[in-house]
Amino acid sequence: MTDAPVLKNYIDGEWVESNSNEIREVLNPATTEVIAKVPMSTVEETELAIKVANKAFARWRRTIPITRARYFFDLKTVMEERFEELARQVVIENGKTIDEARGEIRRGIENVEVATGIPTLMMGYNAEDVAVDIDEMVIRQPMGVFFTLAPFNFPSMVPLWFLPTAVACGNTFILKPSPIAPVSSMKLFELIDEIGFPPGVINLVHGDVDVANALLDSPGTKGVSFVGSTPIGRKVYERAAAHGKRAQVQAGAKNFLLVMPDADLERTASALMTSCYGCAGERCLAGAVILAMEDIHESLVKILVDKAKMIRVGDGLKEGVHMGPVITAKSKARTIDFIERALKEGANLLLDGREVEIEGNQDGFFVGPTIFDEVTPNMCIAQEEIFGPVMSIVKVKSYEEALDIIHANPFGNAASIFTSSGKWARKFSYEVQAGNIGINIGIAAPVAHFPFSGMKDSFFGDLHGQGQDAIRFFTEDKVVITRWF
Amino acid sequence: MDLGTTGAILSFALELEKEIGDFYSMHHSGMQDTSIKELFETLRKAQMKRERILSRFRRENVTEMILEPIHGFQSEEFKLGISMKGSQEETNPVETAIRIENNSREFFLKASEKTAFLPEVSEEFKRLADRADRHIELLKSIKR
Repeated sequence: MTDAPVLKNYIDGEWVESNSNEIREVLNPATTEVIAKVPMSTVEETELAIKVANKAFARWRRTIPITRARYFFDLKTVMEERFEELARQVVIENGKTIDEARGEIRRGIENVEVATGIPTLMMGYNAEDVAVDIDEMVIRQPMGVFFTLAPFNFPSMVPLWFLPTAVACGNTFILKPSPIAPVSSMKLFELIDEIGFPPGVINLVHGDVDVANALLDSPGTKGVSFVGSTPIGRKVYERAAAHGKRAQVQAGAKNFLLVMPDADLERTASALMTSCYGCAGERCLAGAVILAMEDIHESLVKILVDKAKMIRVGDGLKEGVHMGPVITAKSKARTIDFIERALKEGANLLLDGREVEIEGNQDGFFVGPTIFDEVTPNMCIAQEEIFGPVMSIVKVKSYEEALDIIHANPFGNAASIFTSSGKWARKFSYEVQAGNIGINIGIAAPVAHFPFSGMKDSFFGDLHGQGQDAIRFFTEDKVVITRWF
Repeated sequence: MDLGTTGAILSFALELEKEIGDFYSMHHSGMQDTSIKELFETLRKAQMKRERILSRFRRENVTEMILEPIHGFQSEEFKLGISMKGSQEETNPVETAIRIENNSREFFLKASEKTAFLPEVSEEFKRLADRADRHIELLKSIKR
């Protein structure tokens, strides 16, 4: 073990050391340097956080919405002031490039900005004279303690998909960051502490399965927001349901990008590069399979290979680097395993990212851009989520064939079409069973005031994160029927 | 340094701005000629505004996470290397200011060309190049 600091929990407005004996190392994936140590907090510590969050709820829910919103105006201000510091921290623990990290922080701030509109966003509605001399209204009330189980791939943004809305609605909150990338959350909580949210309103508990299960099993929590893989997401959803909790579970993905013969190939290829290789492919919206119509297949493949060869891989902190490492040695091994399995299954490897060498960062978890052509829909790289920089190209004869391939896959997070035809675009957005649709967009990422959708095995629940869905998720409707004698 | 991404261009632009800001601040405070002093004050304010614009663009306009490698754009070509004291240039700050604004114009023009895939950023670079052009005119007029 190195001298890196052991991260603390944040409970009841105080930084507290965990009593846990299980401490894990947090690595910089570009350098493999140990940047922090994270405790796997105990069930007792988790229960303490739940207890103080419930205690704080009684007062916080009575705090008027405009006052609650003002805390988020303050949070936005300090996040803007520390923007570069926050972005650099994301790079250090996640590995993405500094530009990508800036984008992540911006998207996080946008969620804070939306939460400042809570006085109007959480308004109910009413009607006069629903019967003689009787009026009726719906009010939206906060419910209690919500928690988020966050992933490693957007360690700053994903907590902000949920925290601001939940808390601005009048709930109290517990965050369990990913144990692989918990330091960005610490930075965020330093700002939360600095602003001076009332004690117990926002809490942070580091850990893994034990903490998650304690939060899920406790009668003291009302709902969970989860982002992660489908197998874990399914377990979270089932466990939350078993305890009568609300759950919004955003899970895994395998996103298909259809290129029609009438697409602008040059611009399409740029969008496909961003989609497949941005954040080293570690996005739930990352493009995975290119469905290229046979008329343009050959020309598209040539442009894609040429463009992918130009991508500079390296430490994301260096300005000018286009793609950073994947998150862990295990992720790298998993990605390489996919490449090797695809070779055995007969896919044609056009660009091999396995042996990429990064000067000065030989130990980092780097995988270069990889392209497979002649992929068939039954191959592993067309079926399973890789979460690495691997692009698979499938040649298709018709729109219908492409649609069948998309629908045969169990995931339904995102899908895109590239075309200059409004007819094909409308047909695609109408018919495709995926939650986030891109029309000439490689990463169909909804902004903060729209819900982040998802279907099939990519989402469990009914109300999504962000937008009006989030307001509904974090509040309970109460109907008041009134008659005055 | 290879300015291979939009973020790299904006970061280098901010480095340049810091150097330019230091130059105008120093010469403004020590300047005897009132007309040059006023012009340097104007240019210092313009520089501060430019810095805010660039900083805002870096924070707000790289949100699409566009992976579009940029090639053929090196920072070395645009490094100013202004010596703040003891150099011959110090005796002729107007000449130095013209060189600075010229450098800015060329830099922003190239940045605009290289970021054409991000129209909003590209157009802003073009606007900054146009402003540098106007600054050059002002400096030349005072020199005459």
